[in-house]
Amino acid sequence: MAEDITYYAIIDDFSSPERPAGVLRRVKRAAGERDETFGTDLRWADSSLLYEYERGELGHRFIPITEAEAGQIVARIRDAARPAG
Amino acid sequence: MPIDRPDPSDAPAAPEAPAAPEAPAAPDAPRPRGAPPPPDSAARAAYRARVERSYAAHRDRTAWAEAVPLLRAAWAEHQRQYPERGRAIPYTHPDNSWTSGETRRLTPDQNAAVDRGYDRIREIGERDIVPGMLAVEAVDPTRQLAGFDRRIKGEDRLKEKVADRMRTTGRTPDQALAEVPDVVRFTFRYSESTYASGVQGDVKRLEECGFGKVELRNTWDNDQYKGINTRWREPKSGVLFEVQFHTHASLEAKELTHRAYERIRSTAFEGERAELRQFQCRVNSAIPVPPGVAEIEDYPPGGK
Repeated sequence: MAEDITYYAIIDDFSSPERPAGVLRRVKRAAGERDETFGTDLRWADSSLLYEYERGELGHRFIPITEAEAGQIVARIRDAARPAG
Repeated sequence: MPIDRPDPSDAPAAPEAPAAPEAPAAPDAPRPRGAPPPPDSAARAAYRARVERSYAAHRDRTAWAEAVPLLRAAWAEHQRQYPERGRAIPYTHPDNSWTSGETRRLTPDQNAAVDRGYDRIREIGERDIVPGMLAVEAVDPTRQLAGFDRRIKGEDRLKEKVADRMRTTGRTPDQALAEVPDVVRFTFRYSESTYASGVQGDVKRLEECGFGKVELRNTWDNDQYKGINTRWREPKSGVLFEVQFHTHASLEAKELTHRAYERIRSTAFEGERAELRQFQCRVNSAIPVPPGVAEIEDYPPGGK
């Protein structure tokens, strides 16, 4: 099984589908699956947010997006982390 | 072959199993003076439908009770195949910074902000939210608040959630803390037959208490978790709290899958995670679905 990646925009109380709060990817491969978010530390790391949502957790919403749209959110997070000036 | 009837001691309680009607009189038979008129066909059909739903609910409950020992055995077998791995240990350092694993960390200032916020939310929870919840509970003795002693979330688990949100969304500690929906949380537990009407009645009572409904998610069609979870706002402080609505079986299923869920979100190997999700699906597929639950709609409509 090749790697199958689904990207999600994360929407919280302070964001909207037009300007998501963050990005998550679910990576499925023969060995199993894992979820990762791209964080303010500028790397992809394990995340339990979508599993928590699937367990009924409130406060977040996950909208499937394309890889290109995910790339735009990653770029925005990188820009926000860049020192001003 | 014996007819499979419920044992009288297991039979549904009175509200779920209306007494058998008397046989309808023949249309031409004289009706005794003072006797009630014979039920019309619509009333008979409605009555039979109620009886059938009642027995179906009983069969579902029996199937769930029979499934539970098998599901517990399946979980024991999973634990044998996949022994528990070490979990990240939350730790407050001498400088008051806080860490849990590689990615969850709070600086001393952030940790202090979360501590202050946590103290405030707990105080508001006990002073302004708990009395309202107890008043709502007191209205109807047919359902109860379950797990009331666990109404305040543990400090380290809260900090994990705050740290996750800060890292993923760039929120400040105060924003991230305000977003965690279940620092203060409650669970109502109902019988299957009263679930749908009970939830709707209690949602209305919570609103009448002055709490603001923020979100309602009906996940009875979800294969990983079944129930209705809601988010509310205490009007004076703006503090959010959570109320979950369960049947006896869905709450038992939640507890039965708790360890699996903890592994999914923390220590599971990639390969184990698929099996854990399959286990959660198996447990949830055995839960009797209460009548009328599909009619309870999400709020806001179409999602948050």
